[in-house]
Amino acid sequence: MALMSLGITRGLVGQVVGTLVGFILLMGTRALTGYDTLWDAEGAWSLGSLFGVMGFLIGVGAMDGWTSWMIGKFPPIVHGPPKDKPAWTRYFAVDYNHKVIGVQYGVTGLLLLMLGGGFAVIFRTELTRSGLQFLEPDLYNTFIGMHGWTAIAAMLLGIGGMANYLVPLMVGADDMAFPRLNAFAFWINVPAIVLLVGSLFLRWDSGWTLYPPLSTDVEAGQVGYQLTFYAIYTVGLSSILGSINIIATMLLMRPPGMSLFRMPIFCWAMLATSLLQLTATQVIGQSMLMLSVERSMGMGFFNPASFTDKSPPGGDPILFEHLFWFYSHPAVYIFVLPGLGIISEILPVFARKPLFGYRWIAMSSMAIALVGFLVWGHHMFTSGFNPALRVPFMLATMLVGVPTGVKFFSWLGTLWGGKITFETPMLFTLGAISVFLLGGLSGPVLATVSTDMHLHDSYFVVGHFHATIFGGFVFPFVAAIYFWYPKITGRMYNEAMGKIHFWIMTPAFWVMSVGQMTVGVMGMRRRIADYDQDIGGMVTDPILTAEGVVLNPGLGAVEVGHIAITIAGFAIAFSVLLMVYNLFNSLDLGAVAGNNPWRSRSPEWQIPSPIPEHSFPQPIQVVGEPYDYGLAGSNFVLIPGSAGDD
Amino acid sequence: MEQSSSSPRHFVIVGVLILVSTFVLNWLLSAALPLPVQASIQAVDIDWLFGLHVLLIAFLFSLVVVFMIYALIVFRRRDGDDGEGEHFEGNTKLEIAWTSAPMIFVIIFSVLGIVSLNKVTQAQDGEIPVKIVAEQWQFVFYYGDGEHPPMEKDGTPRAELVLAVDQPYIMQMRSKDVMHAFWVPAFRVKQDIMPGVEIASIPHGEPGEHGEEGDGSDDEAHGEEDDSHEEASHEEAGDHDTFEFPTSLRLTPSEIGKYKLRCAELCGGTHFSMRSDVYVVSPDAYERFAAGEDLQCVLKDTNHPDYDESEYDENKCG
Repeated sequence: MALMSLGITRGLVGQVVGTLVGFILLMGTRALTGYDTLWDAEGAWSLGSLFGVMGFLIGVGAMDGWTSWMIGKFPPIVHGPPKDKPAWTRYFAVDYNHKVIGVQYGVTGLLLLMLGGGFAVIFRTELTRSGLQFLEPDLYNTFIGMHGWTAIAAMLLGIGGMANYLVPLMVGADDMAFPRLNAFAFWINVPAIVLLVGSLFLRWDSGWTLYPPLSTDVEAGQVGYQLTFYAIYTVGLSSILGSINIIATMLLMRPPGMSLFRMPIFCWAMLATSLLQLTATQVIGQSMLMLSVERSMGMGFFNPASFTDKSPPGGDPILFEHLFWFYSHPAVYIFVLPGLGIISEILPVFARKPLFGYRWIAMSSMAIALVGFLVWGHHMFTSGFNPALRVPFMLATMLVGVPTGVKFFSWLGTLWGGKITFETPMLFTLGAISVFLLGGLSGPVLATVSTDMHLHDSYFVVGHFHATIFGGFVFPFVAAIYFWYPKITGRMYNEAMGKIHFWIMTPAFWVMSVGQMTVGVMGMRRRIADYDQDIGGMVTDPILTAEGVVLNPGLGAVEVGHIAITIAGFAIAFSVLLMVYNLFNSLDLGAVAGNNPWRSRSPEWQIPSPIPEHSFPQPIQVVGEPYDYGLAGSNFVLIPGSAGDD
Repeated sequence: MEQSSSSPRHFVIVGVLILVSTFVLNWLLSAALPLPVQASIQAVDIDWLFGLHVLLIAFLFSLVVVFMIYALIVFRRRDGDDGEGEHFEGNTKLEIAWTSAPMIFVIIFSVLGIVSLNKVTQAQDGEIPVKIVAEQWQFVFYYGDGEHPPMEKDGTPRAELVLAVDQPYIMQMRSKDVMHAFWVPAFRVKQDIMPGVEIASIPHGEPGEHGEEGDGSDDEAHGEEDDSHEEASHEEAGDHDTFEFPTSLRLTPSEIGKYKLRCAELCGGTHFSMRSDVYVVSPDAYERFAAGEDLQCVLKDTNHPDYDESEYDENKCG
């Protein structure tokens, strides 16, 4: 029964019970309405998904505080590990400390990122050579959609991890503004992940874009769509709630002296990100509900009449594209802005120099967030929407390059004249810059309508956004993990192994991303289980006997590209496993890190590692600028009453 | 070796390296991004702009990476030096400069982009409409105005697209089910194919919002309808005037050859195998094909480079 004392186990049981309640509710309603068949897969899984999420939250105890309030009790928030259980159990149950929640977010995000990458490795293997090898097309299509949404959920969790752990520490707050909401926002992700993984077994084959009428084609019988819709809805809800907390913490809980322009730069990145999350996410949530009811109740929002006589006329699939990209384009900035903030945060520490143009970098994040709202139509240049919209969306998209350029040039200014060292976090930061540059620079050719007419929905796009996402999120996330690992655990990771990780992952990623662009330009389409061997011509021709028996299938130019991409993909996967081993192993074996191994000026490095339950015993005093490296005798903050040894 | 970070020497060296790197990278990228054969006049404009973008990528990539690598080497911490870097926090003039300079690129490339878009989508004199109906998982082609046979001789719809070289076309497309997309990499241009709504309410001869092409081209479609076709229904794709063709695409083939048409929008199940062949043939061959001659016979007679001996059947030739 010890297992049941873990919050997460109770939550999962709650989810199963909730799902059954949803099923029963549907079948009961149908029985009362007089249907012959009580079971309806679409309706049952919709209600089951919703009630399952609620069941999880009740089971795990994420609602305990609020339900107490309803009956007139006001229990105080309990700090510290649970009294009668081992300390590690707090990570598997509802806990209100932002550092615990940050680690919960971060670890879940990393695991989910590996799952998403795992899906990619599977279908990447299928694509190594032309021909269908081991994945049937329906499963292949499900995998690509799973890869997309798993990775997106993983990134949102990873960002939640960095934001939860770092923002309160960086601004000098004792915790987040709303600790109960914070725990709720984390735990609601777990039932969502269960739904998402569950959807794999019920199949959905539209890819992550979920375009109707394919995603609303009930006849195909792929009820996994319902689970996916509610998983996305739920992750989105977490994203919105989390962003409210971050904004409130940043704006209301700064100690005296911590003016907005003295916050460490990552906080500015998170402010811009949170504003995007708060406003854009609602639209995708809404559109997921619309897809769900279109499937289960035949409400024809998106489905043109010619497809099925069951839905009333008037549906417009382009409407969905608008709704979808109104979130899903800003989502890219949600993923990359925190990462760019991490780059700006880490560079000065290892260059031993002030961050060049702090205010410009802060404002460029806000500018990217703002312009990011006005560019969604560039995903729809070939959709057949009003042709007059193409030029404004092209112009707006190109404009994104301006504030992004400010960041790059300011990073160069930060490096210039420094005394640069190359520890693992710095290597990954520099890798992030080079990879994000590749992603950014391959953007304008896609933003230009006429060239996009060739490249749209080709593998070039795949290469472009993987570079953007790896440079903007994955590399900085990895840099952040190595950078703050000693602060979180009190131990150093293994530096040599960290460097090996970098020197495998970075070249491998370059090969993968450029390789994807190469095959895309040749004419390789996205989202296909199999491709023509002779795209881009043949390197060696097939050899047949006179009877037509294939002796040697020959080698297409596009296959050379795919072989390289696949090998690179495996190398990346291996290097990530190496990191996980390093992190796990160093928990016990790593050297004791001390308070401030990187000689950073940021508040979190002035207090012990790992950080005690209450980060700052008394409010911190802000006495200087955050990045005045090289200014003799200056400090950013003083920590009264801390056991700090620096 | 110690010298100020603002010494002009640094910038001269970096400038030269950027120049060299731009040329080398442009060459490498052009090799790494091999465009398919150029088989339409639209491809010429698109490829030119693509090449310019590659040059831009080469330059901007060199600008940032050369600066970065130079800084990493020259401003690395030397052994035994435990000091801090130079203390400067920014430079407003520089920030303004590198905010405005990219604006110039944005403006130049936007103007080029608009010009290119106009050229690529421009209506041409003497355009011939081709009706394309997509469904899971095939394309079917109807030579829209009824002048040309919508069916093979045995009554099956055409599964390959035959176009005359240097003849401007407008592809008018609709889907019977989910979204599809028309993409011939050799032609560069791509267009999604949206489900077409039944538009019985729209008066005859005014095919929806693409009215500018509505020169009554639908009028004769019925006349050519093969009544012996078994699955005749109001869904019959030849019945063009009752369905909206929501999307259209202009292209002018410019090279005789055989190309791949592929569906570029995930459409479920075996989306990957939704493909058709596109034959671009001489005007002479096209006339004969349009008059009802067997395609392979025409290809053979006109010495088409991609005529397929295995498909050739002498008995079909007239």
